[in-house]
Amino acid sequence: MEYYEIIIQGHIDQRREDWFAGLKITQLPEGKSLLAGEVADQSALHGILNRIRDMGLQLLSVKRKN
Amino acid sequence: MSNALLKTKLYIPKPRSGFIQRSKLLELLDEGLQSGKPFSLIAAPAGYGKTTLVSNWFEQLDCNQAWISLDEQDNDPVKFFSYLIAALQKVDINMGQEAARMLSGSGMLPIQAIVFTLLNEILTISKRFILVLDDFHMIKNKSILQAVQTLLDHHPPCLHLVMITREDPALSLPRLRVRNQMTEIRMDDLRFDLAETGNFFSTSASIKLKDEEIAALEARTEGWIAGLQLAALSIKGWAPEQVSEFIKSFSGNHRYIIDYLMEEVIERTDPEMRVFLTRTAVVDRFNAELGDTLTDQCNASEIINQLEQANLFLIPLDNECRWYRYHHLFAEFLRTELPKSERIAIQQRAAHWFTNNGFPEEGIKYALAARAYDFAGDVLKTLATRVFQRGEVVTLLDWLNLLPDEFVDTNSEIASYKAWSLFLLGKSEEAANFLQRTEQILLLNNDPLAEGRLLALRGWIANYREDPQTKEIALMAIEKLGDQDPFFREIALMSLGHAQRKSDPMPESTVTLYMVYDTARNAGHMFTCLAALLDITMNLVIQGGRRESIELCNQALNQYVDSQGKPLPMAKLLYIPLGILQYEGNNLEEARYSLEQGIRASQSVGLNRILGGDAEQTLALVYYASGDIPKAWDLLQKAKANTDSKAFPIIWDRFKAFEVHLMLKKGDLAGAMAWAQSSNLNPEDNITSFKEIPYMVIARTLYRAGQYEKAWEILNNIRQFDQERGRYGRLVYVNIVSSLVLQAMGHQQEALESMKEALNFAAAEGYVRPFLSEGSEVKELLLAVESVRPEFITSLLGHFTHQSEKLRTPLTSSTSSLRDSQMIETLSLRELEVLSLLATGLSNEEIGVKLFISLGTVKWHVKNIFGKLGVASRTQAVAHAQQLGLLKDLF
Repeated sequence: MEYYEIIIQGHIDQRREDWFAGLKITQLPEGKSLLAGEVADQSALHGILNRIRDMGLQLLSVKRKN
Repeated sequence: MSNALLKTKLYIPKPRSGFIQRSKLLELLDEGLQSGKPFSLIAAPAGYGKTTLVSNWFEQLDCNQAWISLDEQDNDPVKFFSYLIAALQKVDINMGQEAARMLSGSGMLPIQAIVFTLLNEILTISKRFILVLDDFHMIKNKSILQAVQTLLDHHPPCLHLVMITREDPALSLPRLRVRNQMTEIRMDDLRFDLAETGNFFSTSASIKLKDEEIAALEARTEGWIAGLQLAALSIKGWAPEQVSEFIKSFSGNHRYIIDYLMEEVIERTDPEMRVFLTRTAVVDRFNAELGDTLTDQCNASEIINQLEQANLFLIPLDNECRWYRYHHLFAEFLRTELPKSERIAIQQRAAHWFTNNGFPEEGIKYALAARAYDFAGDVLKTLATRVFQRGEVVTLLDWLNLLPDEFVDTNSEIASYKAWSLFLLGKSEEAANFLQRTEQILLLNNDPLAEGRLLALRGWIANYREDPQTKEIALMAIEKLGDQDPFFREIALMSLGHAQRKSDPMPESTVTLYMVYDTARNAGHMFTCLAALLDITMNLVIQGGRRESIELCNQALNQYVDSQGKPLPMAKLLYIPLGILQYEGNNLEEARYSLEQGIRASQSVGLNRILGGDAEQTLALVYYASGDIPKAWDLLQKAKANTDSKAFPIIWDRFKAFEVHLMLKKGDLAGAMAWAQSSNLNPEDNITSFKEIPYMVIARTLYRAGQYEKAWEILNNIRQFDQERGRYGRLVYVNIVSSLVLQAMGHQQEALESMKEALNFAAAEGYVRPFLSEGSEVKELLLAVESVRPEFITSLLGHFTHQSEKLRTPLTSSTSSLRDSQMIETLSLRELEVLSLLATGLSNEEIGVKLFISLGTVKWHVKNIFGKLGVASRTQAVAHAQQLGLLKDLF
């Protein structure tokens, strides 16, 4: 398990956490949202990134935290 | 077409009414097509109107069109190609027929072979057509990506490929860009500009807005069409003040556009509609009947009508208004509106409905999603054999991988499918491990069929590992399977046949393989049928069943043909045994044609190593016998270089031995001896089928070197091996070489006996070349036994007279005069026939009638004869032929 922080453009409702494999959604200033949490493996991470793509969301950054 | 294909996936979507004409983009697409670019890429996130743009373009175009809407399931190469072929056949019914036949029942066939077959078929199309691969981002499978790359690399002039995708595909796009071979339309091109935004609201949505409001919406959505559409839906029917209020609050907040607007839109629907939307969004496609089932109502058709009128992202999937889906973005949002427990209940209902209405594959998909494993397992069992036969192993394994281990471990039938899928996808280690685990399950369950399937797999793996128990395992598998499961029975019989080839007399293996052939033919399994035929005919080559084998090859080459009557690629493999047999009958030109065809076919289907290099070795001999020594040498060198000596040591050794065989023929005795001494072949070792040829080369080398006793010892070992195993085709060679060795040892009588044995068998089965290829000494022995088979020997001696093969070994150089034959090239049997008729004074027309060939063919033969004899007229030809003694064996 690895901990990831993903930042996307736009505020999204916390009800959508299911979309992102349970990552926690926090709304940031300047209209950004933070998706953060444990990701099972690289496949799971790519699944989340695909979901961001499929939802037409703009991806701003992806960071792995130690 | 396989009945598992969904027609809705090939439907060309129609643009909805009120669509904004995007002239600039359409012009761009037109330009690309007109200037002959092979490829258009439309890459942008969801909701930018990609599909709408292309379907709008299609409406204006007057050319053939095909469309595939891809989804995740199409990552199975067999599925992908089935749809691709079905789409191409909508353009031209004849396209892809050969590829489709290759695809059926070919779980082990490399995709590349199918791509090239398909390419060739596309090349025959003269009228230009466009193929769209929609949602290409769904495709992750490497062999499919590689296949599409191949298609692009070869871009047949009649095909314009359009790819619609949310992400750039893993293809080498830069190359296409640099060569200016593609039209590219991306997100920035697809955004609505201010004018288009205004146009959209005034015409398409019929909403009057102020200029600054349009500007605000355009800025907030950044021209994202899905956002603008949702905004239009939100404000439709509102008073102007309300609209301005809405736009102000929308522009001023940070919420993700779709998230914000979708809520607005969904809030505006009535509860009944909302239930319908959220439940039908669970499935990837629905019709009215399924809608009723999922909502417990009976008004689905009505609601569907309302949705269409309200423009609520409903997309029809066919012309008959039967199947629908929602726009992907919309569906994703609707799905989050439904609590998880409710979603699972809906998925379960969908699983039953799809299964009961003739769509079991979708049934499995939703059952697995709902974790209804028992139900999924039951449906899977009814489908498994068909899926195996279609070769859709990737699909099967995807399903099996979604079943939890505890479930698979307690279900022997499911376990047997999993083991096979792993093996067929090249994961043989995993399959073997899985087999071990499943053995315990089998002890608990009394399921002979599942046991039989697993034993069949064990037999197949054992055969690969050269396990001496292979035969026993295969026999047990066959017993357990009985007549219940023809597909796995064929597989078990096949491994038995292969095992018998190694351990038993050849006829036993052949009988088993005939059983495979019959079972497969009755069940319509073409791939297995041809694989069995190839094994049978190769067996017969060794057994000496020359005439039977030729008959079988010719039959299959005439029977398994494409629409133009040409043999199918898999059937073309039979050119290999046919070529070997033609060589043995000394029909060198025919042999050359057959072997070249067969080698090409084996490369195209990726089976070149499996045949052990027999084709290349024989072709080298054909070149050699035709006098083209450098070509023979070159071919062997290439074949050897292409063989990984570590992975295929036996085959490599055979190539090496063959090289020495040619060295020896050329007279390089020292080189041959050096090899014989350094090779790890020990005369005391057991002969095996693969080592027979290297041992024969050693025997010939020792004979040439004058070490007769040693040569004799090896020949005796081989003879014993061949006799025990019924390898009479090989025995012909052994007897001829033995005869030479015995003669040299001074055992005249035994030498003649050995030659007689070879002659008796050869005369019945039509062997010629084995006598010619061992050198001129054979001729003297033949003369000594002329009374045994006078006619056959006369014809053999005739061949000797005009054969071009020249032996330059030290032993023969002083004795033979026939090396200096005045013939440069050998006449084929057909040419000899024509020549003999020429000698009787018949005209070209009369010869044609007599030989059942056309006048043109006769003239062609006559021309070749003149060329080979170096003459200019019929009289000269006949005179020259008489001089050379060419005519005597024909009278």
